[in-house]
Amino acid sequence: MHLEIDHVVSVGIFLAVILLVTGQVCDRLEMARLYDEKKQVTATLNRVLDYLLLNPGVPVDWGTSDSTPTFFGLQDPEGTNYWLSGWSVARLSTSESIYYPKTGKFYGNVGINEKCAWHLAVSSQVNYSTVMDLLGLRGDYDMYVSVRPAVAVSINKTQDNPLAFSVKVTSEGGTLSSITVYFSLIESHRGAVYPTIVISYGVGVTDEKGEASTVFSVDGSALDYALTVYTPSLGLEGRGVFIHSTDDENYPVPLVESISNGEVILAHSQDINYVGMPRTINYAAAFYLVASDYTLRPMPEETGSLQPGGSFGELINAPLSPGILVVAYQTSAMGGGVVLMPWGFTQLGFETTFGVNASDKIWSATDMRYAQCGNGASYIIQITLWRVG
Amino acid sequence: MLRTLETLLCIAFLGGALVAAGWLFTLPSEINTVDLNYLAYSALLTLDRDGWLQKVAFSFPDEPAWNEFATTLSAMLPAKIVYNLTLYCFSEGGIMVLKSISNANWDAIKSDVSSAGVVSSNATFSVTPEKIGERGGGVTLYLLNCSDANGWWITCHTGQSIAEELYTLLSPYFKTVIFVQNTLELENLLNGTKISGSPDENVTNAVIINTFGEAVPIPSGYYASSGVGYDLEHTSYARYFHTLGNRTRQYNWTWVSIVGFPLFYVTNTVLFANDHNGWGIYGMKQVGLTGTVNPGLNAFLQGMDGQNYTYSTTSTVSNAGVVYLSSSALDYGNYYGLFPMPYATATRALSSTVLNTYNLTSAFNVFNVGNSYPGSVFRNIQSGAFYPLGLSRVPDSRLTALGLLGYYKPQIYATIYTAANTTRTFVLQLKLVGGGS
Repeated sequence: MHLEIDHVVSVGIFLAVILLVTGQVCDRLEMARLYDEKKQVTATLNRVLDYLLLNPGVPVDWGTSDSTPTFFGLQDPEGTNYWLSGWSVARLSTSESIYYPKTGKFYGNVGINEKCAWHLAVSSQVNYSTVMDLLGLRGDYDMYVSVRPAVAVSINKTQDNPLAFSVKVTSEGGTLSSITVYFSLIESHRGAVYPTIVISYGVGVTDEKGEASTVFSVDGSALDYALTVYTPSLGLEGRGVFIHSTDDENYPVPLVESISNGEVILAHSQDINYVGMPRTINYAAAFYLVASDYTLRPMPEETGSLQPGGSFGELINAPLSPGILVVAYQTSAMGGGVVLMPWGFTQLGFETTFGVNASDKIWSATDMRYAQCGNGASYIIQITLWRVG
Repeated sequence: MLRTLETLLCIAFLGGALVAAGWLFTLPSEINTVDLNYLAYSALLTLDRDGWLQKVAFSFPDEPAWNEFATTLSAMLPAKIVYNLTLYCFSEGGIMVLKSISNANWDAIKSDVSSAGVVSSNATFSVTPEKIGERGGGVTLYLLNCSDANGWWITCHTGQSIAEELYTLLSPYFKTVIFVQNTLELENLLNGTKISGSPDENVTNAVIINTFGEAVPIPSGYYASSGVGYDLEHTSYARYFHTLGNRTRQYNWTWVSIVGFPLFYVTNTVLFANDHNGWGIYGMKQVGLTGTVNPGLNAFLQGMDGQNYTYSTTSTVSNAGVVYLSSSALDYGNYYGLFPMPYATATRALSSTVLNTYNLTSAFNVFNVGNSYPGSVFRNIQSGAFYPLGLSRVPDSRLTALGLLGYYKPQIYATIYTAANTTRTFVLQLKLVGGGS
């Protein structure tokens, strides 16, 4: 009897240990499987990232046309290696959109704020599922693409009179010192009917903290203006924007109907946001090209009026080259402002994201590349990829 | 008791095996998914905008440009990535490290590397094309430049000006280029006799380009005589083209017709001083009767295929309309730096029926092929080749050159930098710190 009990206890302990060891081994095997899977995802990611950035897609000018690409790529067709096409990025669908009832269309909404944004008609955008189809990833993978400037430029107004600004220039690894900073102050001077656009320039150099400042000899307390900043440093170039308006409830909203035809319309903000007291807007608008010395060269100016609930304005002088749309506006004797829109997305250091949010994905792979744009801006393209199903 | 001991022993074995497996079977705590090679490469390319890498590479190591470069590189890379950048100089003495900068105590273990080469703005370079047939004694290029011949459908040009253009385009690719200055020299050539003092001249396997368009120079005398160059029965010089085809076959020539209807007229300003082509150009005679299909092309193809001469007015060309360069031609155009208009009008495209009739194969298509061949190099199954460009005037010498280069495919040898110490290379090593592999 004693022997049998001894036997039973021994077998029980033995089985318990066997179970324990088996569990441990299974855990390790599962870890190895996940490790192998992630290595595969990483390999796919590296391939996809280079594929996106080293080919312009087909047709090569799909970024500036209204057609849907038959092969997908984000390379600038006029560049080589890691050149990013600002136009192709501009056509990617955005997570946010606005609705304009006068055209009955939705427009993408990406940018710094409501007065400095890129609104492309959703019908002209290339959506996520199309891209995944063209890349051959749909059903197997999901991805999240981040396109952000390699250089971040933050701008602060330090005083109104005289108008002074300080900027801080940073990058992924820290601050950028001894960098020349080019300032362009775009003022909107209210007139009898339409405002006029006046531009002045300033230059500064960043200190060891990556900060630079400049002073313009104007009183900014009642002035409507926008400040654009360019920070070239070797091949690394950043852009920044600061906007100050005296009427934030009524302003023109540039909406891009077609990039290829240069169709840009101006909508009254009250027809989109319905915030505050509706007023008539008188505007003066012009596209500006950015010269190599970072001065702004205007295209022909157009003027017009926007009534709340009325028809939209149409701009006809969109250039073929990338630039900046400047819309100066006034709504009453004391109200007005400046609205900016990059004509070519990367002109004002915009960033965008594309794809499915990856925040809750544990087994995902992330990789990044540096790229430059034809206009000089430096960008980082980061993709997170993971398996589905 | 004994069984308990056995069990404990067994557990000890299993535990030991588990510990051993755990020790041997370890996975990295984190997988680095960033491809540091390509990240480094894209970083170097970004920094090279406006030629900055070149400026830094050829500045002195203690110049401010290096400080700015180091600052920018440090700021550019994510904080968890450290770098080591080395500039190498290549000279006759070997490889030398000129400068090295790093933002961490660097050991090269587990780093990823990328490099970018830069060349000084003082450097010049040259390319050396392979000479066609140089491994077999060389192919001689003959350009018909006859002073006693006139051209047709070479509007805005003369045969001589086209010969000069073609010399510029093609001479780098041929060991010997010889201008055939008159029809007497052409006669010698037809006889298989060298016409220059060049030891490299080789009549066999030569390329002969007729620069006179639809007209072909004819030597007076033997080659214009009845039964050799003249068809007495049909009062036509189509017979000359049969002889020409025969010579093409005999000497394995490549005969090139640069524009229009190939072999439509014969030209000799002395022999035909009182004849004109029907359009007021004297010194020229049409080989067929006006209003009939040209027999010259058929006669040439008969001769090239070794067939007996027959005066044939069977149509061998057709109007192909607007035609486009083939993808191969576009590729070779990029390779050789020839960029003609990508499309042209081909009213005299060679009919596809000639391939079977005269045992030809198309060896290289300059233009896309439909029902006819607007511009292709044809090779006879036995010997000889024929390259007719059946385009409407005005001729484009680049198309002639493109067809020949696409057919012979000479290599462009690697670039050679002619100045010493003009090449430097940046090597950027990146390493992930704080976890990962």
